[in-house]
Amino acid sequence: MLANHMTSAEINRYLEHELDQNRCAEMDTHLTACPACRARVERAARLDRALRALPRTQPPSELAARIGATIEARVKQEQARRARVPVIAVATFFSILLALWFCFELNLAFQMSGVSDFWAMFISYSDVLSTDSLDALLAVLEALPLSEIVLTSCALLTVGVLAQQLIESLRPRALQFK
Amino acid sequence: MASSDEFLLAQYKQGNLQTFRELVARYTAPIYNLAYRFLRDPMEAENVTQETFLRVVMALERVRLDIPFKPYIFRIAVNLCHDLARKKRPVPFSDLGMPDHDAIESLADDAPALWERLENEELAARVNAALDDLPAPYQTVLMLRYVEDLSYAEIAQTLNLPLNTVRTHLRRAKQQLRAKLAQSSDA
Repeated sequence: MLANHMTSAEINRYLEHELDQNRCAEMDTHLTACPACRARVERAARLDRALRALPRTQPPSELAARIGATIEARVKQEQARRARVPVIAVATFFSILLALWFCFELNLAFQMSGVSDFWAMFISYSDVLSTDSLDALLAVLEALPLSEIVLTSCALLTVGVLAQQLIESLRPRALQFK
Repeated sequence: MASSDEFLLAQYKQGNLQTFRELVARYTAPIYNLAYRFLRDPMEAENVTQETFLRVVMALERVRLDIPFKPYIFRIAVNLCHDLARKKRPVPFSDLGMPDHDAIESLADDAPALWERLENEELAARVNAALDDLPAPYQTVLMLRYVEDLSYAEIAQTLNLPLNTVRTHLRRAKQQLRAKLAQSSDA
């Protein structure tokens, strides 16, 4: 028994009361008879006590209150952000409808002004563009439905801005670290 | 009797904001102390403490806690500290290899070293200094066990390690600590 000295792992488990009752009783018996192991256990226990006595650094007295206030402000900010989500979602939805409507109108305007026909002809017969047809090209440019083009562009831009806002609102906020 | 952390969290989730303040009051000092030990900078320790609570609050609705609150909040704090410490000291985690492990064990366990004859106050100061020289994972387990008083199971949950690995880390951490103490006493 005496030759069977305790290992460091056993000493740790003994000091941490992690051994079962039987093993603990065996250790106690061994320690009564073995001064070498007793000394090792005492040294290990002293190191444990020194570790438990390590100085604690106290935070500034107002830190907890400051953190509490920051968190409440952040939670309110978060709640406000979430409250905006449905409004932005509805606005995005209607802006998409509006943009589709303007696209449809723009298409109609292209057809009525003959620009679509000219474009189709140009695609099919690319050699149609001659010196004579330059006047036709200028006429087509003049016939472009500018107001529809501007309105459709604005509508598409609105969709883009609102969709971006919506994605920002839905994405969890990145915190300071990582 | 003080309410449990989990009870306070449940109350907070039901809309009682005051209960989170109680959790903040309960954990500010331990988290700050842990962060200060790692970072040695009061401002960064304050930042980490605040950031830890913010992360807890922001994650509460998305995350279902599968571990108790105490290991959970320490896990966040430890990760933040390690991230920041890694930025300041680039390779703290690589020291985990222990090629001279047996040598340290025999050095620590045979005859009483000089440091073991020191007075308690002197020993405490030496331990405090020697702890700073340990690799970050060993500092972490020692801090969590002996300063923050987490159980082995809680340390395992905090560090996401098997229980036996925690035991091994703690044992090796103390062996390294003894070796550092012996070196500083012999010097």
